[in-house]
Amino acid sequence: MTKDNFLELLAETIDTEMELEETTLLDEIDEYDSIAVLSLMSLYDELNVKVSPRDFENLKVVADLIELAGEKIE
Amino acid sequence: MNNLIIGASSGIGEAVTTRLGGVAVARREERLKQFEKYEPFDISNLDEIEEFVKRVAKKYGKFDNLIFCAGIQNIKPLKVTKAEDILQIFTTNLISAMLFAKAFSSKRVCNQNASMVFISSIASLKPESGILAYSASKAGLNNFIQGSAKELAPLRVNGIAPGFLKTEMTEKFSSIYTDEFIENMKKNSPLGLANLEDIVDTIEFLIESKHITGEIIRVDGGAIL
Repeated sequence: MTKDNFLELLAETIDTEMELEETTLLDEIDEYDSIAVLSLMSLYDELNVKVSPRDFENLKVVADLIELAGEKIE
Repeated sequence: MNNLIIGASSGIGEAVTTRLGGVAVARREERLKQFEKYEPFDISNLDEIEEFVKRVAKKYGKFDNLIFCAGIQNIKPLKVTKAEDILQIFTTNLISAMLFAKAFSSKRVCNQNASMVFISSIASLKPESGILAYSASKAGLNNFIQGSAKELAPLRVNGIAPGFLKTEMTEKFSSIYTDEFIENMKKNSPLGLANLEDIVDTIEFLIESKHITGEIIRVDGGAIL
């Protein structure tokens, strides 16, 4: 999956109308809360990437979410 | 007593079969071989439930109790839940339960004073974020327990609503149900977390109580309070 496709998927999963960029601060996304994290866990699960709520604890920017998906993102 | 136990390969079903005995039913045959009497069956084959129950009753004799412990859970916020997720949960937790009750209630299958016990959940009474399909399926099950207690009397139909339990079903979500989460649950339950034996005690109580029907007993250590 390309980075752009993943960014779109992230926005859809979090259900935000914000244009997400790698530098977007997670704190600036109103919809980024504990339910969004559960939704993202489901997204990563579909990508066969094992994650836990702890993996989200210290993330700061959208690029960290991309990094979490590892090699699934081209 | 001749018990028919559905979902006997793990968790509550395994514990109740170990303690009370009966015909153990589950999909995974290798997990049933520990029991003297067992019948492998995939309960999501809804069209085959009635014939299956008739066949098992013919083989083992009429039953005294149906103990329905099968259940699945998925943790997904509604916004990422798909139709197939909801369908899968409702098929196992509610539709198959209803069809087993239907088949069991036949005079050719159960004895006159027979009873049924279904495992619900406190999520049916207090839904939590992330498990809405599960909570709704169990709320439906509660309603079915009460309705069928009326329609199927003198058969007795009861349920148990456990709080959080450490079972194979919840262990699947160990990344969410972390040690920290479980510690927190313990703190919020006046009596702490229940264990499988507490649930089996209550099943035993319900099948022996001859004048209780349509009841759903919480066994949650007060977690809902």
